[in-house]
Amino acid sequence: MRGTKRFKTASILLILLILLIIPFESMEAEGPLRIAITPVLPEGHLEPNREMINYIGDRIERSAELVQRRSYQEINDLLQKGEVDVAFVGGVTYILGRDKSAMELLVAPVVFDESTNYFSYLVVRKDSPIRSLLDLKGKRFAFTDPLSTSGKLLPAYLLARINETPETFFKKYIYTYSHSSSIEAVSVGLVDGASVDSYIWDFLSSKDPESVSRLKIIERHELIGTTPVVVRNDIEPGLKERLRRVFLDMERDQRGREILNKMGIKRFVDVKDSIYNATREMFKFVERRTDPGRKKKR
Amino acid sequence: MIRLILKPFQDWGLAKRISAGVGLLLFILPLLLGLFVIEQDRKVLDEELKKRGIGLAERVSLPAVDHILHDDIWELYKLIRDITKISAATENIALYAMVLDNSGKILVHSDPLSVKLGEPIKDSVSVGGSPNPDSLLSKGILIREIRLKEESLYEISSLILRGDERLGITRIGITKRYMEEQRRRLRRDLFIASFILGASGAIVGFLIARQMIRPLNQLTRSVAALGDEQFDKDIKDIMAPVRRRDEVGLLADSFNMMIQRLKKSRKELKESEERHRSLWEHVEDSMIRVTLEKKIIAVNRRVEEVIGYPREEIAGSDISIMIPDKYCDLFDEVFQRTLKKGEKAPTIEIEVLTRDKGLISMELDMRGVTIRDEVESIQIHFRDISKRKEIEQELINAARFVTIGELTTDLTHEINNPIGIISGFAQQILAKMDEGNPSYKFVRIISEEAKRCKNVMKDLLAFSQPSSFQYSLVNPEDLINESLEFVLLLLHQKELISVKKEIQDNLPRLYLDIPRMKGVFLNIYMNAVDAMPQGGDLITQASLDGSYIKIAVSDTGKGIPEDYLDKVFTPYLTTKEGGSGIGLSISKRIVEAHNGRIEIENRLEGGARCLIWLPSHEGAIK
Repeated sequence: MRGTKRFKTASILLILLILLIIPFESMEAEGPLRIAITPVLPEGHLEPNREMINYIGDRIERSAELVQRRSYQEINDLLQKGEVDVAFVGGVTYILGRDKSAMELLVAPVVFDESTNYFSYLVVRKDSPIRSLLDLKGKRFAFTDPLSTSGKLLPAYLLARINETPETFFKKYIYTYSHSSSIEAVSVGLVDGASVDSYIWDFLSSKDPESVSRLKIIERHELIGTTPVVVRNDIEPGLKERLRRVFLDMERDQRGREILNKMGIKRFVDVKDSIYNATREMFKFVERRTDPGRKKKR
Repeated sequence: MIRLILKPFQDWGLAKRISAGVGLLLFILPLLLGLFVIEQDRKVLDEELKKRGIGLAERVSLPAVDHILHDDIWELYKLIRDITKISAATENIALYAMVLDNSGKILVHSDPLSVKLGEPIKDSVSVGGSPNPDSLLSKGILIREIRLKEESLYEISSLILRGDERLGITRIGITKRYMEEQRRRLRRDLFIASFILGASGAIVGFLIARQMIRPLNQLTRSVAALGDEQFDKDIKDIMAPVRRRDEVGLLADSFNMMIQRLKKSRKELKESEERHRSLWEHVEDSMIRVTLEKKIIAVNRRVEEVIGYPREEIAGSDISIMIPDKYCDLFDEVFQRTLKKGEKAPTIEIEVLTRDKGLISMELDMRGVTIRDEVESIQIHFRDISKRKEIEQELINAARFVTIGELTTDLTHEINNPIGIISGFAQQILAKMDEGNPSYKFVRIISEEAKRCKNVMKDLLAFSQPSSFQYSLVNPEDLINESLEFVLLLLHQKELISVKKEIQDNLPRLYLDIPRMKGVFLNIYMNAVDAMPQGGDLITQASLDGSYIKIAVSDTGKGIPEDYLDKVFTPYLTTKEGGSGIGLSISKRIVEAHNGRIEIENRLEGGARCLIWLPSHEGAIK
């Protein structure tokens, strides 16, 4: 008797619950647009990211959702699994992701000198006697992300050219997964040097001069192809095109300009996959040099 | 010492002192209590601090497991950076934090530049790269107290454990600075609070004390205003205007009562003073008070009247201006004797020089006025005895007259007889003699002259015949006293003579001629005094002897020579120089005329005694 009654109540509740859920699911059939960003911008300067996401969502008339991950690898994985639609990634991430057909190039930002080129800065503390990368031998070094072009690939490439690997060259190296963290790591003395993206350095120099005040740049290396915006491989072409236009047109309206300005980006432009060839070359060079006796990291 | 410290405050008013005391008490007591509590609280705070340190260390140790496993130095750094940074936002109790690996090497440090990252840290917790397990507590926590740059801190070591596997050690340096600062703040707040409490206490105490003391001040003002003139005002105006029921009120009441009593006693004193002044002014004697240096301080009215100096003029003068030169030595001697404390100097009789250079006989008595056993001044009584002197002279004259009268009668009788014989025999001769006899003429002259002599005698007798006896009743004592008084008046050195009287009570009165009998006693007394030129006792005894009253006058002189003893009443016989020798014979006659009897004898103990029996009034009537 009692068991029957309990079952009845449970059934009614279940039905009510299903009824409640179904209309929402059907209404949000498309789901929100998921945009992934690594913490390119330093902690404390993330508000423009959010504004950008909201802007994009507004422009494509779809709710947009910010997905943040610490490393490029994680974002790569998310793209591959189709769990995000749009992502701000690094050059190395892109070439690896494209090789796996996980993503397609959308646009790239212009951050320096009206081109899509930028720099990798080798920074040390101002009071440091280190004057070049070579002086960092046996020191502690900070990379940003293993898949970062400016924060990892370039110094690794430079070392490879002198037949060194981070393991052999440095006493200890660490990953900070953010350029601003690398800057901080050098500033406080956790490491002796770091390789950072000029975009972030410039951004911090203007927005938070204090954070870079204890550092100096000892080497500048120009890189071709800024960190691109990509979409997942299987995105429907209409949406991709709409997104492309949103990015390209950002500088044309007031709100877009303000967001770009806050992010230290001049505009987004169309780029060809070929501008990342230089990155591909460097990556392969490093791969070749480290492949034979390459140890597992850590 | 304490007294020395308190000395400056002794001049403070009561209100200030009470206020200071209350203030100090209210300041010190809570302060001491608070300090005690803070001190007690120190351990609790200390434990609290350690707990917070352990909390911080665990906040590092728990997440550190993953980061160590992934060799994620940056995240590890962020962990301890955040610990030190977060605490910096509130109270930066974590001065530093570090994570060591199992070999004791520093993986990260909150201030990497201050250490050598990757190098082993050298201290007891991780000697030789493997922390001594005994040095870590069972919970994986070790607390050490260390000093770093003059700062005392706790270093919390916490094991980073993954299950039972030890991955490393977190170390956090916890400063006690904030705990100390907190205690300092507490002490400062306590001090301020105590000070405010003390200050308010002092103010309130001052107000209350002033409220309490105000009536005292009113009393003080009332007392201060109590001048002489105020005493004459109405008592209500003087009375302290205090209307209270407390101790101060009682004090005011007693004060008012005291004023009333004071006023009463002042009034009494004034009256007494006036009585004395009146006495002083109106006494019949002239009175002068002089300093010990004989300067005149005060005189009474009689001085102005008798000696003639107005008091304004005489005040401050030397007393010697009224003492003639010849008495100066005597006066000075007596004055000096009076100066000697308590001694009553003998009375002296001198003449006093008046303002207009006259002389007045006066009797002087000096007496020291002693205040608290010290002779302060000398008071001199001037008794005007010029009147008495005159009376004395008159009395002497009268006595002399009586005596002369008696003497004349006596002499007349003595002479009459031989004259009668001469006259009788002359007439007989004349009767038998011729007129022609050449001797007749001489005999007749003898007869006539004798007759004339007789007549002269007769006339003389008639003239000097004492008036007949005038009897009246008299008390024997009065008779003796008056006679003695008279004798004493005549004595110059009466202090040498000690007058003694032994008079039986209730003696019957005498019926006699008082002046004559006084003359008799005067005579006897003078004899007695004369017999004692060096002084002695003059004893008068009176008693009833049958129907007679026996009066004995004794002296302590030489007595009467045996040869003369039976001839003392014989006229013209005397042992005294200058004496007539008839005094006692006349006395005898007078006594006998009163049916009395007189005898003279030598006393066994020396001196002479004169015994007189006079019939009592009752006896006389019989």
